[in-house]
Amino acid sequence: MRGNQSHASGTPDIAKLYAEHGEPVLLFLARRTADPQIALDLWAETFAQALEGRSRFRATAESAAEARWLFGIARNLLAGYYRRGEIEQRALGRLKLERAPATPEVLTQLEEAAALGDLRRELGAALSELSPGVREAVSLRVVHELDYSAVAERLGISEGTARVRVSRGLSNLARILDRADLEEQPA
Amino acid sequence: MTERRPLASERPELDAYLSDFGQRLANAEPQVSDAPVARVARGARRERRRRLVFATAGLAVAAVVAVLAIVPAITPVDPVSEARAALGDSGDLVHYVIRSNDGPGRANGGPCAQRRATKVWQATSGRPRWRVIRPGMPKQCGTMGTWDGTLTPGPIEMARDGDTQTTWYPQIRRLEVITETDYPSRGDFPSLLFGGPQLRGSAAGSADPIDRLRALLDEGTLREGRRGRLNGRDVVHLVGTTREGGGRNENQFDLAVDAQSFEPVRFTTRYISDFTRLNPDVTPTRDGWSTAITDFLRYERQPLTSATARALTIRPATRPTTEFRMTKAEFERRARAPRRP
Repeated sequence: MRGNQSHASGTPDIAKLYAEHGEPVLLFLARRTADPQIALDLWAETFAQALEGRSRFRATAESAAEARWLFGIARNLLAGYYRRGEIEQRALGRLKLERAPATPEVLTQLEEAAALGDLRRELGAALSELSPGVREAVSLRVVHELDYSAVAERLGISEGTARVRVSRGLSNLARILDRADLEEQPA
Repeated sequence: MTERRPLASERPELDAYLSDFGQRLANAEPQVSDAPVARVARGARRERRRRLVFATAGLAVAAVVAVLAIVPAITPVDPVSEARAALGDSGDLVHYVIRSNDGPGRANGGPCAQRRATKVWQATSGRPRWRVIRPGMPKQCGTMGTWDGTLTPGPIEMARDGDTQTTWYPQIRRLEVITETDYPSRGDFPSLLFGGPQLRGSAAGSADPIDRLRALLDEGTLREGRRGRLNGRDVVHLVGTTREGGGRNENQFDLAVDAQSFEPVRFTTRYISDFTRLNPDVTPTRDGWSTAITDFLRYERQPLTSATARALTIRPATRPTTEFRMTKAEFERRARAPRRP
């Protein structure tokens, strides 16, 4: 691998990290977003940021530390997506790294691998536990996949309020995802 | 939760995709370059591709016109091709007025549906350029907020020129200019100004109405359907269905075009997903289906010239009392900052 080798100073070997955690990170993001396209964008940016930031990582003797660091990047990106409804892709831009467009087959296979059908059914049950305003905002954003601006328009609220409602709802729903994903990510 | 994941042999495309990105990652050289430059580079690549597409489309249109000129009597009219041509192409300025509602259910009828007429001027090629005017609406029909949370039910005017987005709130005489924005595609259109998913039908596809219709026609999704009369005009219905998510999510499209000019008259989309089938109560009609109807009250095309391009720029009728100019980064930083109660 050109330019990605683990340095003698103990920086992570991105190729090794990708081989071991590329798919788990992708499935983690797919189940957190319930959207294969968004998950792929966040996933690609996760590895781009890992590649850029590997020199800042302080290696430890613990083998799981690198994986925690990698999932930490993914979580930060996910949190940014929840907050702003936008997917950060700056590291991909700086590296001039682009992921290939995903074919319908790739998206379908990713949906199946992440068991998104089951997840959506679980979300349906969990939605009923949310307050009506939050439930509708999450439903419009996650189920109908409307932009935050469109969610705000539908509900007659400001875009900022729509973001807060969706974020609050997703945070509650994330408890379900956490239970499902416990064995998928390092502690 | 236990989940049964497909075996590797059952998902060859996904495995190939993972392998491809791994190779791209391996070849990526970390280097110091600022993001705006990278965005500009991507933008330039998109521009080149777009020019090629439009050049090719122009040649194709010229070829069709030449053939039709030679054998007009024996060439049947293809409504799909005619509708595609009527949408305009490279070098045009299109102006349209649309009124939308999201079908039966909720509060989409009545005053909201009647007043939701939006005017759009849009350059069909080159850098993204458009101007949209949405009239004021009653509060129950939806309001828009400024970046710092000031809600205004009054009219909104928004314009985009490349990476600069301008918003004018005439009721509160406020002008906001956001520069250095990232405009990833022509599909990044302000669906808010149209009051909902409108021409999208689902998350898939562009929010730019004309871009969306072009794509559907180019992809061959729509085929000729029945003829009839709609909004006082003779129309031809172009209909089609697409499926996503392994066939579980379904979009139904019905584009009614004028039988003579082939310009759009009404576009209706219906969408159902695996989720809404199982949870029909989340949809307005409680049957799992979501509907968006858009009527084109006017549709015009003109050559894009320096004179016609003036329609793409906001010109406030009164002097703004408040004016904000900031970069997108500054805008996001300020919009996220805690606000005083």
